[in-house]
Amino acid sequence: MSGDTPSIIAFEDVSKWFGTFQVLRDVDLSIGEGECVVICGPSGSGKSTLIRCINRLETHDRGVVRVHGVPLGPGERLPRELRGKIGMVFQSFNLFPHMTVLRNLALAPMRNLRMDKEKAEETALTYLERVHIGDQAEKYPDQLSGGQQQRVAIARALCMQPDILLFDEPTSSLDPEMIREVLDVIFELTDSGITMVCVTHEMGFARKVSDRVVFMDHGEIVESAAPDAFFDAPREERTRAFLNQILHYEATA
Amino acid sequence: MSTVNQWTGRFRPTRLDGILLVGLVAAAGWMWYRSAVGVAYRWDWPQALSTVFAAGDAGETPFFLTGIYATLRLSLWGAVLASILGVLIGVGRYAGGRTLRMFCGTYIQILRNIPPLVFIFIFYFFISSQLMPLLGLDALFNRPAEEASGWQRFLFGPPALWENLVSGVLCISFISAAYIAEVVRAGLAAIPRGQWEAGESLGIPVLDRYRFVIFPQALARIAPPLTGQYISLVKDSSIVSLISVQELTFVGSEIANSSGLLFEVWLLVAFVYFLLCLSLSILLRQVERRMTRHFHQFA
Amino acid sequence: MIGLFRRPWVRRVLSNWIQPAAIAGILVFAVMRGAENINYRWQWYRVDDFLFTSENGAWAAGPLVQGLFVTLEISVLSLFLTLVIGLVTALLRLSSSMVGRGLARGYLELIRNTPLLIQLYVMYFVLGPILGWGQTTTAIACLAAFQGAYTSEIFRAGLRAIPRGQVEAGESLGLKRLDNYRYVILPQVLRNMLPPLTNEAVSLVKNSSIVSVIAIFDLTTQGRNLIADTFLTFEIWLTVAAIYLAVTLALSTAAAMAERRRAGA
Ligand SMILES: Nc1ncnc2c1ncn2[C@@H]1O[C@H](COP(=O)(O)OP(=O)(O)O)[C@@H](O)[C@H]1O
Ligand SMILES: [Mg+2]
Repeated sequence: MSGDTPSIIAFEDVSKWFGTFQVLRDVDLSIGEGECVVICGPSGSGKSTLIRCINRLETHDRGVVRVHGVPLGPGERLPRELRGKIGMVFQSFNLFPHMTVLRNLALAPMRNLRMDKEKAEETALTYLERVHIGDQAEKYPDQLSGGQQQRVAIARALCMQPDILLFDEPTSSLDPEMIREVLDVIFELTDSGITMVCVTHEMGFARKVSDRVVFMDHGEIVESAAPDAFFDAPREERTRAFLNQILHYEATA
Repeated sequence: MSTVNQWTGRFRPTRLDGILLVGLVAAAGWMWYRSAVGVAYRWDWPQALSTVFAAGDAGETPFFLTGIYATLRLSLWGAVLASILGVLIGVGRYAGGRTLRMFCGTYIQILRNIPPLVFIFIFYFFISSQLMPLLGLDALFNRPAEEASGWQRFLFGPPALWENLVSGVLCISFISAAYIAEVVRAGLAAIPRGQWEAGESLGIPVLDRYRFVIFPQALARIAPPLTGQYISLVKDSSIVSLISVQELTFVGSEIANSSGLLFEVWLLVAFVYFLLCLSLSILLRQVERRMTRHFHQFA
Repeated sequence: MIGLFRRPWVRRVLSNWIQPAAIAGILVFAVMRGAENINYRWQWYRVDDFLFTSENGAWAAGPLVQGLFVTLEISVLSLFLTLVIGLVTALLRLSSSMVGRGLARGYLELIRNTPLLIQLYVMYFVLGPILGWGQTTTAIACLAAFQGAYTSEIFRAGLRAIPRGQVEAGESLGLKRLDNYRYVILPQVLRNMLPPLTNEAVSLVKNSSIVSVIAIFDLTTQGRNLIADTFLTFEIWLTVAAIYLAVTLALSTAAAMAERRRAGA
């Protein structure tokens, strides 16, 4: 797929260090427009760091990251025109606790896009409906369940009408019965044309939703393949070991 | 004891209660005995009150009241300036580059670790001999008194004492700013990183991120220690009497010395400060509660 | 040796204390150079006479060092009294006696809502004469009464943090109540309270300078007197400030080390 469509995100020989510890090792990765890529790998393998280099919450130390064709060198932050265009959904939601749900959603459009209040709140309500919690607009985040909070966070990112959405383990801090409602919402976004990069350990979800699965270990991309090939015929030994480990419970459960 | 009973309706005296009450009565009796017989002090509250609240010869505001007003003005402007400086230094300490962080840290540590009295003496000498002439402030303050309008007198007091007021305000706000800065820094540091990252990833501009996302949350956390700092500021303002700023303590000591009613006047001054601080803390607690209504999770 | 500088607490002491002190020194130097341009005649060479004097080869403390001793003496004595007042107040607040709690509460409100300087004046002009106290007694009592109110909070927190399980464990082993306190409870409480108590000592040293207004010959008073005699305003005040800073700095460093021992233990 990445071959046919122009790439919207490209890592070219990207390396990054935390002190003397190398988190990313010569990463090469190209993601096409509208593609949905799932990134998996053991904890500490650099998945978060990788996707945070896309919206520049982290900067890399060597190589080039291209976003929308804009080349970003080491240490470079996001250029003004791209700010807010790369939405991010965090493991711990990171909703603003002192604002109502509606204010949470309306803030960025008002301050970044200079939308007026009515318009911003109208947009906010539209997206709240889309994640099925239009009736919670006036509540504060801590009055919602974890699943609802994460859906608010997704709606909040959508309000900026991003071309790229990054998910960093969006269901990892949820109670099991809420995981489904969040994954469903993400699934519903696949035909929106938004490019999605999702770090997750939900392998069933990866298989059903993604166009491609990328496996990382020790800061390297070990394997990158279409979901069926990835799960049914992994080429690398390390991938097989990883899949064995995390699929073990699903098989025996 | 019966009054205590009425307060709560369930006063069950313990042995300690008895001992303390006896001790209290004994101490009070001993004090009364010492003041009446030991030092033969003749209390004269009517005289003291009339001295303190007597209007001047030409019907001016009583001297004592001008002292209270001066302390109020000193506290108000001191708090305003200290807040501005404190936030700037606190943010600088938290978010500045290496050099700025170092300077802000130095300011905070030094000011919090030398005696306020010593700072005031150094700084006062510095202000009066260097700063005032340098900034041309003395020219400003030495204008004819008639030029001051009514509201200027209300906000800043009599023009003849403006320079006096400015010295006091600078001194106490520089000290208080160090404490406020430390509170601000700690408040900012307590905001989870995810809040910054969420704001950044949504493309909210940096200043707006501070204004809408970070400061409101930080404020809710620092409101209680900040309240304490403002009350400290009112209290600390008393030491500028030592550089002849004509506020409540200064005025109190003038009246005490000239009237000879030492006991009454000093107790009265203490009582006024007590009322000021107590009402301020009640007031600020109300504001604090209003401000932090939505922060049940931080309480 | 190099490893020492990597230890977190050493780095904290360096960055919180030594570095600011060094920067302040540099700033002061810059101010001095600036002041030369505005015709302030610096005479630092005269300051060492105020620290130490030597007569016929015999060294003696100069006025500033004498003042420092008085400051330390007053601080140490009032620290003891502070601890007593703080502990008693905390115990009263946690007691079942209503009079006791009311008394403690009233004392705390009184201290917290009036300036230290006014407390000193009331003690010096009103209570002192009534009770027949001299200046030094008044000064020590005043500082301790002030600091005790704040220290009582530390004791209260410390006493409330005693784990119930520890008390019960001691009792179940058949320890007598006093022994239980002495061997089991108190050591734990003290270890937790040492760092905040050290900070109280820093406050005491700092606040003690206020007793200069009742003519006690502490460091601040000595400084003021020297300035009145010599007009070396900046030199002497800066020296005085540096001495205070050195004392508070040493105490704070001790607190940081105590904290580290507690955390690292
Ligand atoms: N800010 C940081 N400073 C130092 N080390 C970090 C930092 N962030 C992450 N690391 C380290 O980098 C490695 C990769 O982290 P991360 O990208 O979060 O992994 P993953 O998301 O795959 O679990 C981990 O070993 C982690 O300890
Ligand atoms: Mg991660």
